[in-house]
Amino acid sequence: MSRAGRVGWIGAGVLIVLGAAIKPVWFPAPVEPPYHLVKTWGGEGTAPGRFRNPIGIAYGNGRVYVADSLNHRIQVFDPDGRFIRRIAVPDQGRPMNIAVRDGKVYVADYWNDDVLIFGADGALERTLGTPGKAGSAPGRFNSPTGVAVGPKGDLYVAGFHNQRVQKLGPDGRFIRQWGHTGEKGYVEAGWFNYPIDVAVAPDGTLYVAGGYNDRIQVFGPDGRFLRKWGGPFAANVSGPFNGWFRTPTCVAIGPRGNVFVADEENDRIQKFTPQGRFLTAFGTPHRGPGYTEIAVTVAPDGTVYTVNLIGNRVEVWRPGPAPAR
Amino acid sequence: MFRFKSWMPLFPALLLITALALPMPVRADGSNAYPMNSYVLQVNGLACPYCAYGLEKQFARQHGVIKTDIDIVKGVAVVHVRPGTRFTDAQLKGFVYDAGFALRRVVHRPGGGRP
Repeated sequence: MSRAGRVGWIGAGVLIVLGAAIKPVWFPAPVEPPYHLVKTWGGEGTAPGRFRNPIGIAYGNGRVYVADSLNHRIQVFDPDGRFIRRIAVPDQGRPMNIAVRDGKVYVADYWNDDVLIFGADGALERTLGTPGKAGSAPGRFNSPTGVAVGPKGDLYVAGFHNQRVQKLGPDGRFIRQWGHTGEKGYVEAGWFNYPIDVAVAPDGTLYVAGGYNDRIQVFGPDGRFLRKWGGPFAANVSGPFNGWFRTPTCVAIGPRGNVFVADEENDRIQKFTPQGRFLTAFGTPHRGPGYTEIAVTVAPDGTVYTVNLIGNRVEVWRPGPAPAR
Repeated sequence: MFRFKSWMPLFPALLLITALALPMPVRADGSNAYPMNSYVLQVNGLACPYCAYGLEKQFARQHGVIKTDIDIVKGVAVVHVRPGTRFTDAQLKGFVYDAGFALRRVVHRPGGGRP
């Protein structure tokens, strides 16, 4: 065999070995069956039970809370989709991702640059930040898009235009931040490119949906960076493959600690282990402009509730394939 | 000799041809009536509400802007302005750029002016 031929064969062998090594890491196969759709409710409109740009969703106290952004309200439903009540977001606010803890509703209000805390009765109890005035100082917000409550009542807020995540005490006092205020980062750990949502596990581990960074970043209870995932090296490479993202807009923790991510521009929800191992994906496919799965929350029994943006509706999913009729 | 009556049947056809030949303003949403006192912009990348709301906020800060309607499905922003408010293409491009987007084109200017 000529020298060129040997080099060719060696090169092909190297590529095959590399491909075999890379495939399960960068293109993982699902290890669980996808969830199946069991129910939807909603439709476009302003009446109770209808939505205009539903963007966030949270489950708490046996209720489903939906951020109905362009209607400037949070709508509360029972798990079967029966409308219970509405919570008005003041000053034409645009509620985005929300959180519910002990009956209180925590709302990131993009439009007014504040975080609102409503009591169990729906009354506004507290406003963090300076309503109507964006700011980058500690404790201020510029288009907040996600909020989560930690095990000790601390608040975590994703600041879209400030490129950071802030941790605030239960009293609203600034504690620390991740990211570099106003500066985007694409590859390095601890940097963000329009972070959109946050979720906190019961042990205090923080998960950040990186938005335009197309990745999830994980930080320990002590704030230390732990891991990231989403495409090759989680380096801001988007794609439609399993474990990759095209604008992750919401992150939620399931009852067993698994991580659910709304992968908006791929019209799907992806499910991972806490370590970032891909488990399965599901969602409502969509053709044409606009996207479907923009937010996700998980009930204690494992039922998944998602928000379909373009369809202006809530979707309810159960694990496993649809039962045969 | 010109006989008017013999041309009558051709009038509708001539009118139709003339109408088709004239430049027809078409709104980005497909209708053919421009909203008064508004700029209609086609913007790249307006797919998600996170970015669309940012553009809306950017225009809300500008003097003379009443409100901005964003259609994320069509990628169109309709900026409603007070009568007499004028923005140049460069200004519009700057507002859109500052919000993190690229202006594809201005479809309509206030008063029916064409770009």
